[in-house]
Amino acid sequence: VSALPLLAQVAAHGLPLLAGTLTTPERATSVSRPPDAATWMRLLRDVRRLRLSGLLQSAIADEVLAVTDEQRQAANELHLTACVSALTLERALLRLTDTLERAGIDVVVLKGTAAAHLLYPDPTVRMFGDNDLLFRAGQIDRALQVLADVGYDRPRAAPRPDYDRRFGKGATLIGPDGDELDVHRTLLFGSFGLRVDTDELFASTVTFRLGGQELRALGPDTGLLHACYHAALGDPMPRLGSVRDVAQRFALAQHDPARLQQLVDQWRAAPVVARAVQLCVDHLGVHIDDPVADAARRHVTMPHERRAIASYVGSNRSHAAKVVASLPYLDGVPAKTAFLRANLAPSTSFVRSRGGRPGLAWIRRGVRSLRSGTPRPTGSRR
Amino acid sequence: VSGWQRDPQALWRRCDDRIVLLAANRDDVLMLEGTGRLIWELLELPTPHDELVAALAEGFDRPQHEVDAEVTAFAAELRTAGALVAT
Repeated sequence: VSALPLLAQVAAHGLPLLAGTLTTPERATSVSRPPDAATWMRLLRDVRRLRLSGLLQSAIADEVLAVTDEQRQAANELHLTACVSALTLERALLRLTDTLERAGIDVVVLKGTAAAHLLYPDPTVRMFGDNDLLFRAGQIDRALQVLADVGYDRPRAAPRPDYDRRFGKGATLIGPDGDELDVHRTLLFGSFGLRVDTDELFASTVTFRLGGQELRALGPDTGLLHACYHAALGDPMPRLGSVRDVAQRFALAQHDPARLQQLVDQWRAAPVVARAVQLCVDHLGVHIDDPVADAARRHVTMPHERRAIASYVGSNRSHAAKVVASLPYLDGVPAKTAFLRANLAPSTSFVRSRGGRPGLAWIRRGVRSLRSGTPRPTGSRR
Repeated sequence: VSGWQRDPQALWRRCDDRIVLLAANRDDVLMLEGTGRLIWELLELPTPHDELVAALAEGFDRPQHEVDAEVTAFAAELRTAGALVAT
């Protein structure tokens, strides 16, 4: 028994096989013998790294995965740690959303907590390691100020003063207790992010209750697209939890296929959806039966789309590669020029915060990486 | 007290055969195991105290007055922690 099929089995465990949404061709349904020690250690390491402890414990409890008593105990301890971390993050989230809303700032919760409470029958199966909040472009500077006032530090400054509001995906902040908070203006940086209608993200939200508060999350259509972006473009080695979110959303079939297709077309996201759907086949062994998934599979990917995807997950991926691949997605020379200037000529404070020297050296560095882009080993961070 | 319900502000997860609980008035995590977990699961909806006691007495085949005392003490502790509210 190798670790990869086991890990895939864990990641796919409990998918709601509603009629007509998913099929699972040729997949083993249970593992009847406990894995050997080496296989188990690899599995446990990957489960920890990918935050799949809830699914692992669920697979063990449902007797889909046979384990020894020691292995069961190790899985339980791992999940207990993950649960405590999730609850601590949720408490931080509640305090933050309360503070932000009192300041008149609209907040939408992305990914982790929202996915756990909205997509899964028991939130314990969907673990997460940070909080993600989406803000309106016009409020993001104010939101960052409010967050700074309550102790959230931004280790990396914005490249330019208007960058967060105009071009950036957002920022990563570190809270007073060391908790990580990702602040988003849009769903992702670069080509595909530029086409996302951020007003639509706020127009079609749903709510969920947590700790006595009502929180906003992305609606079924925008949420499904966000899951596809994250799974398909988030990491060169796709994170199984993100791929599972895609399969889970398609399986729940809460989206409106016609509206979703409209968004896919407007946001030019067909190659992203196609990649996300294929990842579900490759990594979870599930085939998605859905008109939007079918249309995405039929989409003929153009060279600039291939370059755009490669700028996120290809061997030459880099910030500079994303900047160049973004140009076809910007309308008009002024927008392209402003985007290039914001990304290739950052402010002095930004360059210094990254340990660089202000001036020509930074631009030269950017141009070098635009020309060649040093290949990176698969799996390294962007 | 006529009954009990989970404090909506309490955050919790099922973890194996335990409930991991971050109650409103506590910074540390509480664990509910065994009967504690059972009571938590029974309180999915607001439940009259007598109904809760009767269910546990029947389930464990114990006299109601014994179960009553235990449930009262347990619920009071969770109420102080900010995990339960009286109805």
